[in-house]
Amino acid sequence: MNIEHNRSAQNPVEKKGESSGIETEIAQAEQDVQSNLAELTANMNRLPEPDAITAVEYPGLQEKLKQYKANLLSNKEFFMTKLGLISGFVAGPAMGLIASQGGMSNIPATLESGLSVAVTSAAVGLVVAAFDQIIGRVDVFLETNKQKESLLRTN
Amino acid sequence: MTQEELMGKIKEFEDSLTPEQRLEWLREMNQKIKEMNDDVKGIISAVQEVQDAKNLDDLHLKLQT
Repeated sequence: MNIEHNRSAQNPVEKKGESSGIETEIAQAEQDVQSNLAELTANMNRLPEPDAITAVEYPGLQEKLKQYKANLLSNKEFFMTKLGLISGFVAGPAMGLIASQGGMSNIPATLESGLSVAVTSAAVGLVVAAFDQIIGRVDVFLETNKQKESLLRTN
Repeated sequence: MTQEELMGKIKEFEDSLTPEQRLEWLREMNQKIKEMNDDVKGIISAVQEVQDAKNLDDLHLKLQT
């Protein structure tokens, strides 16, 4: 009886300890998401304008940009596969959500804005939309380069 | 799909995760965001390199003339 009693008395304590440990780790991981997204926002604001590319004759630029685009697409694919668990997910509404919450330049504030969902739910939408925005910018770079290259050839 | 529906779907997804799965999902997401950050920084420096090279060429041309 005593053994049984002791076991049942110990288990809840152990479970509580485990639960509290994982909750701390989750809270830490959520903070990491926020700080990484804040850094991403700052870097996205530093992305040069398409007109910044004025010298297509410099070799390797297009290849580099294509490689970064491929990396971004591959990581976007990861998120979309994960989100495949959510039927009908599309990035469009996520963009609308971001706009309604203060825009891309306000990601950390958006995450803290008291959305009625977990912090990462907002982050998922933001990340997918951010992918689209960065890939879109790379596409513009590549297109600008292509146009200038063909202009150079014509001349 | 409206924004409310989208958030509802995402919440549904997150609610379906056990704490362990949620932690793993957060860690994976963090890793991907870090990689994304590296790519953005790479794009910035690739374009900056070209601009610097162009500026240097312009300066050489100026000095020659």
